[in-house]
Amino acid sequence: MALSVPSLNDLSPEEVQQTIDQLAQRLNELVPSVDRQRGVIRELVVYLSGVFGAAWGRLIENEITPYLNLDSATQASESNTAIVDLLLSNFLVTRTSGGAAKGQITIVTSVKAPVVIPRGAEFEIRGKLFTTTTSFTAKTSAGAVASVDDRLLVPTGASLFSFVIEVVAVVAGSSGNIKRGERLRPTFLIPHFHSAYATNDFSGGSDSPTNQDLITQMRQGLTAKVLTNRQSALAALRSFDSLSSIQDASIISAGDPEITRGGGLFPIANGATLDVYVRSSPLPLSTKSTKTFSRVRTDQDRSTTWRAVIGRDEASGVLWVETILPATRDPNTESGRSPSSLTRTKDTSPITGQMMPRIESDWLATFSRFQTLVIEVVLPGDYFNSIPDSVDFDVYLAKSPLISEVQEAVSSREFGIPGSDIIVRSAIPCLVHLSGTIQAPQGSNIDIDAIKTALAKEVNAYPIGVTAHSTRLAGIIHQFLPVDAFSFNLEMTGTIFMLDRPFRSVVTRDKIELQNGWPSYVSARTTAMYLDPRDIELRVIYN
Amino acid sequence: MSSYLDYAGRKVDVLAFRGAKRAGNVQLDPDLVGASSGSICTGIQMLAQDWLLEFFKSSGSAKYAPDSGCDFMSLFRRNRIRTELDVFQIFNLSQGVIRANMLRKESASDSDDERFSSAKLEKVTISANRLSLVVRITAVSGRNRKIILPIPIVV
Repeated sequence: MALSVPSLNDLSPEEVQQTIDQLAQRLNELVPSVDRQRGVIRELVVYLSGVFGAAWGRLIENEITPYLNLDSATQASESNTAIVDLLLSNFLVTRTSGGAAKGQITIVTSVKAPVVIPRGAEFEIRGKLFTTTTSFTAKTSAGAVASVDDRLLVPTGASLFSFVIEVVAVVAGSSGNIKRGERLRPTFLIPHFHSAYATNDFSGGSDSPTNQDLITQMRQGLTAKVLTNRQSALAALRSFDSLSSIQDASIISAGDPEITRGGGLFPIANGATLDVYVRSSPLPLSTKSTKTFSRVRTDQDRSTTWRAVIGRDEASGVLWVETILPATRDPNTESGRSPSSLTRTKDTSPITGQMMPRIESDWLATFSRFQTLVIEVVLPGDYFNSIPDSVDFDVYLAKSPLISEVQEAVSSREFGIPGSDIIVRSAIPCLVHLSGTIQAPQGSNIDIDAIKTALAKEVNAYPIGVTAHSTRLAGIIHQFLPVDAFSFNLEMTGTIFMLDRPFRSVVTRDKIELQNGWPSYVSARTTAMYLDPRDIELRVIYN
Repeated sequence: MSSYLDYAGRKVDVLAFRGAKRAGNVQLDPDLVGASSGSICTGIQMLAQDWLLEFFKSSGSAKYAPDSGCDFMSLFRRNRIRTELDVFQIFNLSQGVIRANMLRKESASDSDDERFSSAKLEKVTISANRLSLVVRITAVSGRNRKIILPIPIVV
């Protein structure tokens, strides 16, 4: 990186005068007989030396000092990335360019006819482009599906057919993490095109880290990457490439009131029993899983109850079931159904190469990779002309990603603590709902979407912990308001999903904070806050 | 002839103007790298030299010393001097600024023959391509002074 020497014409007079005074003083110390206050030496030597000295001082302050002082480098300017990159390269920390979001798009056509989606085809939503990295061919019969890039057109709703393709964002960034169901527009012609929407929540999109992010990484980089104490545990987990996006991890062990599991004969946790809570993403991811449900019973009114089991591999980290819809129905035109019952059970059958935790009750497996889900849903009697014995349903699950990967890491013989009993769970979710009012002068341009995005970004960057102050959120809102506008009546609701009982809400105006009365495992050490922009209601009043 | 002993305990400056004599009218010529280069001066010579630096420097020409210098040379370059009367007027106008600058740089510990008292324009001659000024510079010591001539030395 080239040094930028300041112009001699752009120096501060105060800086120059200070340098001249300093040089005159030093000259007097060196040669006391030379008149330092006036004359040729003063005018030609000291003065000009002072100008150059001030320029060098500025150069050192702006260009050199940051190389010696990380705090200066980050405080000087967040845009001064080159210096921070060079400094941190000494600690083997490199700035990534951010990740491109990936996901699946469901393409709906009005005719059952073969469709080819070429490689490089683009889909657009809100100015963001997603592209295919390979070509896909939708086939009309299962027998014609010959390669991994072939897709089967399946009936979706009335006279519609759909198939699913994989796309990746053209530009890296967290804004590419679009939500399930959001509509995309192809930038090219698709025969018989009806619609396209995100099949699941997109994931993997991440922004290039800021200077402050890199400093934090460096500190963790300096930390020993071993599971010996809480400080090094997060660094240890993040040292795995696949787990580098983990936001926070909290280790609960013997002595902590949040510990859920006892060890041995008595229900007392010993030192090797650990409950690890992980916040692995800004928001829970919505994923679709197609399952065959079996009919359990048919009531007199012909309403039918259907049941399916989701095994621990798919149920890993699942927080709740969003909705259930027969696979042949279009989720964009038909709202799904909530499960009539959701039962979590444990599956602790051995996994090769992993130490298995002791899970004595089903509820202890909740939010972990050892939970299985038994889902039941009831459909009304007029739903089918003739009631079949089994039906394929699309089950939309909200889950924390990477839970099984973290469990595998801490349970492996190579990395895990020998003799330990570790269970990894998703952080207990506290879903925040925020409402408020903005009063603004008539004609003001209030960008509500930008405010919601900023609020969500703030809350979803919090580590594990349950404290959100409305004043802090109000401050973020005001960053987007003109000077004579203001917000008021901010109210937050936190809905906490618990391990062994239904969810419960806490409402407050000033801040969300856990009070007494919660199960002992619900605390600031185990619970994380999530704020979906869709859960923000801001009303604007113009005066 | 002055000797090294005359400089004992005195503040010195590099000699920039050649031609100093012990008595009589003196024409000083700029000469930092000429025959007398490498010389130092002190006393009234140093005072006169500093006055000349102030006199020849246009005010504002030193970006980070905006108070130093005077307007004489600026006005001279702008052709504002056409008659001998113009020279006297502008010289006297400049003297207020130069005097303030000279006094600001002095300290009480300076010798009296290094402290500025006055500068008087005694004679002006305008010829075809030349403007000659005869200036009398007086130190606080007045006529009671010791003339110390420049001596060659390596600073």
